[in-house]
Amino acid sequence: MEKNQLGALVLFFVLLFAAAIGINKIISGPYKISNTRISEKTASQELFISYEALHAHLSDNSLTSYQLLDLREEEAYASGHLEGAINIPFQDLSDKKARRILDQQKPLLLYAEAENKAAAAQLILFGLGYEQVQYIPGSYGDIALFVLNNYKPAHAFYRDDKARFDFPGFIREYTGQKETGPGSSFQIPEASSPAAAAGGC
Amino acid sequence: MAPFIPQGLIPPELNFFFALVLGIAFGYVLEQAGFSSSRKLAGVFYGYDFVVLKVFFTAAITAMTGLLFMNYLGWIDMSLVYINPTFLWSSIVGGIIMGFGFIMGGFCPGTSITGAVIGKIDAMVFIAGLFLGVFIFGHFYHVFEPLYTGSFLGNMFVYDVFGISATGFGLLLAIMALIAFTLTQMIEDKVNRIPATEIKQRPSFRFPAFLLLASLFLLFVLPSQKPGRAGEISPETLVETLHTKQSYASMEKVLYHVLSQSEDIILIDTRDQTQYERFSLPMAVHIPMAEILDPRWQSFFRKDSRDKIFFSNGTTAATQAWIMARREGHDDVYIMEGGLNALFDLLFIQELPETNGLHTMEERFHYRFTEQARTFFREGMGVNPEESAPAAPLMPDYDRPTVVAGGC
Repeated sequence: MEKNQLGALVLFFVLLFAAAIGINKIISGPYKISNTRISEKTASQELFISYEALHAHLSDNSLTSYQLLDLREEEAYASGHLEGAINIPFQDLSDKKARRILDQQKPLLLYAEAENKAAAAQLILFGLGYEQVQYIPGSYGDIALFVLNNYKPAHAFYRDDKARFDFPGFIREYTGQKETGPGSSFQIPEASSPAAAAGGC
Repeated sequence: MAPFIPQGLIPPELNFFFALVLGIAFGYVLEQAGFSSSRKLAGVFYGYDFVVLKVFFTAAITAMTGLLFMNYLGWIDMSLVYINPTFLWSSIVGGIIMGFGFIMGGFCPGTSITGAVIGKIDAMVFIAGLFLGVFIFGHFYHVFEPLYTGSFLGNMFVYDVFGISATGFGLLLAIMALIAFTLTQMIEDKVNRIPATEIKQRPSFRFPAFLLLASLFLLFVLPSQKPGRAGEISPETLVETLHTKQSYASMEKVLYHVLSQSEDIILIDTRDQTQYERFSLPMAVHIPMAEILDPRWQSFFRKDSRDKIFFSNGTTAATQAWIMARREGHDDVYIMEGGLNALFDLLFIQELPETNGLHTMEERFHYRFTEQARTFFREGMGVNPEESAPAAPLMPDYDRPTVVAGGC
């Protein structure tokens, strides 16, 4: 190759890629964390903090190492909130100014009046660069009831998204045996219960 | 042309055209580099002409750098690119055989074709020998099979074995390449006894070498996480859509779909496998929330234009799936209000209002509809997905691209 022709060619490609990277950064928007990484994080269970862990933090007063965020409306916040929690109503979450009180490096716990809003806020904030954000399951009412007032180990892993009913069993049990009207000759046999242990001799 | 150009944009038949163009370009480059001359090719073994090493190592470094850059920019997904799996001993034995053939014949498979098409008889003999070898291998395959298929190590990567990142290894390889070029150039000059004055007159490659190393180093130190894509839905829109409940689909809508067995919406169960198998809504597709961005489901989302409604026991998993789907660019996704818990509550627990308490037409319709839904579910239609004969499970029609890596 002629003198510096190779250099020029390599320089051209390097500048091309550098420009592409630069443009990519500019048009990439407010998100700091890609959707793919969010998906990877959801595969692990770190998205929320259990009532057990929350209760442990409350007991040994280590909750101060977290930032607490209350996503409810101002009136709800005023009538009672977790100690040390700051209030940003859910609809103001996307507002950069409102978020300024939050520290991106410090761990963050959030709760709302419904678990799915807290979960949504957790994913959105994580995407915006809050690496250590977790939501507290349940609504504030649940937290007050199950953790603040009278913590029982039975509530250690309470989540809103658990099945309230044993769905197929419930349907079968609920619909149960079809009602047979008076005069019907058809007798639905009773479900055979396990034979009582026939004793001894 | 996948995965560089996303699947589906270019019809697969057009791939043959691209293959033809790329093949012609490859042959052209080989010919222009002088690889149709067996003397030039064998020079790498005798030390008087290292053009083979320089051309192929340069091509490898160029392709590697380009891929690393494109992977960083997100233009290509390296996990979708086909890599030849590693069969240890067959690679070694095959390499030795090919090396001997290379020295003796002065060609390798690709360059023998470039030589043959410009009329070199020895290249044509080489090709005949090539096919003879293939015939022998095929005829005595049972003898070679244990060697051919043995010592399978899977898709190993050198950088994984050494525990460094891909970009780190790229930088090291580029440094090795530059050292190799310098050394072989020195050997070549010694063997050909080039006078020192002539050496001094050659153009210096310090600038392009520096550029190469600098850009690879940059890639090495830059964090590999690419942020959001261009045109991604803004956090403001996400928050607002959730807050104003535009993201929700009512239970009535879902019930209507189930009752009428219509095909105009798709229900997606975002819970885990055990829960889905235990109970799910009729005709619901199972996509666990954590797998929503999986490539096989993405092609399904892109191709299907119907409304998709996520549901779970409550609304949490469905909401999380919804956020990921919307960030990925799918707008026709919704969350079922209340989830299965609320649905069951409506169908079984709640008391229907007194009929004489209903005044408006709307209330009466709602009452009749809810009653109809209850009957449907109570008669067992909603119990077992198998019993209610849902549509055939959606087979995601995603086929991994199989790029066959050619020999040279």
